[in-house]
Amino acid sequence: MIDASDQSKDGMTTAASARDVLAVNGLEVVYNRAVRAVNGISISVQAGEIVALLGPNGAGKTTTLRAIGGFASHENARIAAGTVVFNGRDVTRLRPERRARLGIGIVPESGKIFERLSVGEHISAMSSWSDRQTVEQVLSMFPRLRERSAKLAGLLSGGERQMLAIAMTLSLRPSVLLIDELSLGLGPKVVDELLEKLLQIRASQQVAVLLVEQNVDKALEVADRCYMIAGGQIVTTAPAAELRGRPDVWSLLLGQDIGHHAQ
Amino acid sequence: MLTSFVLPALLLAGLYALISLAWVAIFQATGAFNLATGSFILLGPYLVQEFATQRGLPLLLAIPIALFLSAAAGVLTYQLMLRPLAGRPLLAPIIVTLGVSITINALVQIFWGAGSRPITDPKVMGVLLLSEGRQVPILNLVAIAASFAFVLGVLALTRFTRLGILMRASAENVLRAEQMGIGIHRMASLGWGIAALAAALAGLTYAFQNLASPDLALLGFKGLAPAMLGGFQSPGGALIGSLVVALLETGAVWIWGGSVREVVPFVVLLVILLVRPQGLFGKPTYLRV
Amino acid sequence: MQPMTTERPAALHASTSPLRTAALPMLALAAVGISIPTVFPVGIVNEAAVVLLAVGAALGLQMLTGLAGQLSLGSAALMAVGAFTVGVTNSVAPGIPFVVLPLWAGIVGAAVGFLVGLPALRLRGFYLIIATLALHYIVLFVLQRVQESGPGVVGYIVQRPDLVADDVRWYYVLLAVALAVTVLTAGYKVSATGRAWQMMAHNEIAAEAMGIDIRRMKLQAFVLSSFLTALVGGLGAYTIGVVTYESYPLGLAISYIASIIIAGLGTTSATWLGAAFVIWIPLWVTRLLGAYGSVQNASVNAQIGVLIFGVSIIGFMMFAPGGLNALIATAWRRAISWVRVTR
Repeated sequence: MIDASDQSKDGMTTAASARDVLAVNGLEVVYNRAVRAVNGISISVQAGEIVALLGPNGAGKTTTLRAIGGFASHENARIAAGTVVFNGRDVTRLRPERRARLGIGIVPESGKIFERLSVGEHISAMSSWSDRQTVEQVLSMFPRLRERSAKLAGLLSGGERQMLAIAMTLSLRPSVLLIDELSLGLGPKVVDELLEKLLQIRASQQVAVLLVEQNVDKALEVADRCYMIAGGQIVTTAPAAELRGRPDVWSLLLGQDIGHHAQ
Repeated sequence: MLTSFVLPALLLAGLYALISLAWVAIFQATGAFNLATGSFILLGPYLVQEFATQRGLPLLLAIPIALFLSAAAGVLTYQLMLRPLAGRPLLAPIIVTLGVSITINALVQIFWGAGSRPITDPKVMGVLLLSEGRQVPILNLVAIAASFAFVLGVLALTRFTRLGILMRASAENVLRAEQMGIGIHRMASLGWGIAALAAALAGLTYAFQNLASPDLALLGFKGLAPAMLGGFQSPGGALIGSLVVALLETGAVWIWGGSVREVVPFVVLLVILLVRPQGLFGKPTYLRV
Repeated sequence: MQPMTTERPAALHASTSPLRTAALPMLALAAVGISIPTVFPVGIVNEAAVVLLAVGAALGLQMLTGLAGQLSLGSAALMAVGAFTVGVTNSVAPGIPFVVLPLWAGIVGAAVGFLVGLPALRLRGFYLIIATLALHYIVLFVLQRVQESGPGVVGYIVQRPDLVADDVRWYYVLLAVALAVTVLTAGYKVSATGRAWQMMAHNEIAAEAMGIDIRRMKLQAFVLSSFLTALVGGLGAYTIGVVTYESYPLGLAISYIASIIIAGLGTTSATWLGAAFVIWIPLWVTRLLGAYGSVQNASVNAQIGVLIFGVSIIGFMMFAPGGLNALIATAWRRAISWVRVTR
């Protein structure tokens, strides 16, 4: 049974449980002092969960993610209201560097890596902000990166870039992994491979994952729970199992036809 | 040939290598076009003069102190003035550094007057005697070696050390570096400190040959030509650019006499901008325009 | 492409009558300008004359940099071109009437501006300003050679005709010219060309998408601005009485950039304040220190003035990027609303 949304505008959801790695309460984000891109969103993610944030373009998913990571201001956006609580600690006002060190890892859109550095240099950099053991662990999950060690990161294929981006963030030993549009611009086989890795990661590291995705179908394959977002607000939240393979329901909830993703 | 062409060209190349490094390092670190480069060049020799001649410290002590203070000036400029301006358009840091340059130049003239002062006797380290009674002050040779050593050292730092990798990462994509928990402001400060240090060394090199005078600030702009030739993308390109421009300038002086010295680098600069703005090694994309 | 300022250019805001809002300050400036010789001694009048020249040059720069967004350090070189045109022409053809020469200087300047503008079409921001920097040194080098092959170190002597030989009369001539240039700039600002310039400065790609011919606009800006700057340079030759290349260091161009920043990019009347600030602050600091301070000699005092000037540039850029114009406008609005509230 899909339960229709009962999230009130001020966003205070049912009490955040102690097992929440991440809890966002009543988040409101405003662009350029005019556009309210996020209008009262509350999300919770527990350890070891994969939670998907789904919705059409411009719904506010990426903005939410950036606000959690602390990067809203880079896009001239401001958190107007609400809090971000990480492991019980209010991080809403913390600088992004601090959040990264606390364990909020973000993998931005389009696999952002350092194009002018070689893969090997990325690995070396990872060793500087982490320990050998962790880096080894991460690399063993992405053996292809080691093979590409000498290559300039800018010359990697789309899937490899994404892998490197994830590896970079993983090396920080995050407790929560924020992933923005993993599948963007990648072919289905590559996306499947990456999602496989996600499951591996969840299994081996008990990392909580918050996944922002336009590709509803793929996201639901790996997610435990999902939130559907449209127009800056949460339309509904449900276990992924209930929504899998039901594009008619997605369209109903989101008010538009996104069924074409389900191929 | 040696004393009239090769050595002057090498000295000049070393000088330009340091100055162009100062421009490129800051541009790489923070995307800023630091108009105060000339002032950092100016500061070095005057500080040495102050500590060595006025206060009687040995040169070996005065120089490191002066270099340290210059580097500190660079870091302070970044922390106090550039860092708060992050996100403002290109014109803002240019004008602010312009203000810094005017301020530093004025301070120098207030404390030390407008005249020129010798720092030390060029022959202080002795001379190398060549055939036909020609002499080469050893100080010159040391200066050449020190300039190239510094630049190559910085190059090695950025290319081969972990710190250098972090610096390059931070320079390329500040946002991503921040997400990785890299201290971007520390990296930027390091870039500015290195740049100011390079500039101060350049000033010393020049002043040892000649005099410490307010004209040193002009040197900063001449150093743009090698930086531009190298493409403003890497210190390595700037090094090669320095050799080329130094050769051209020394050659031109050899042919036409000393009066053309001031204008040659600017002609080179103009030609580069008109023909190939990205320089020899840069990518043909707009740099933070 | 980054915009020049964070605020949208003033003229792009919907406004009832831009000329009317500009007229009031201009009248005020005219009134003040006219009254200066009646209140102050000739020494101050001469300084005011220098300020007026700076206003003219700064307004020329406002057109190029403030409105059209083309960063340029070439104003000193253009002033020199104008002055040298007057000096050289005067020495080879002394019969030419006085009125013609500054205009002729302007035309030569415009030609230089055109030649510079053509290749500059391809350069933007950072590259453009370096190119103008290089040009400054090259032009000055050439002019130095010209001077050395002619009158030598003493430079070209230029004399004003008897009609305007009196300093106060000359001051009024300059005042008229400055006001004319101000009206011209204000007129351009609201004209189609001016709006095109500002849109171009804000975002070249978007402007092109709207059908604006970027190349023509840029060239126009270069030519017009160069004409005005060189014209002012020519007038400057008559003001000083002698033309030497040493009067036009890069610092002069920098002071004009500073004037327009302090005034506010793209402003017209406020530019007067910017120019006055840049010329008079160092002078007055020097005087005050000389009179009351314990500081040593005149040259040090002058440098302290320059120091304050440098710090002001930093201060404005960091804390008041809209310049004096924005500060005054804000103060005026607050004053008006305070008056309304206390009625």
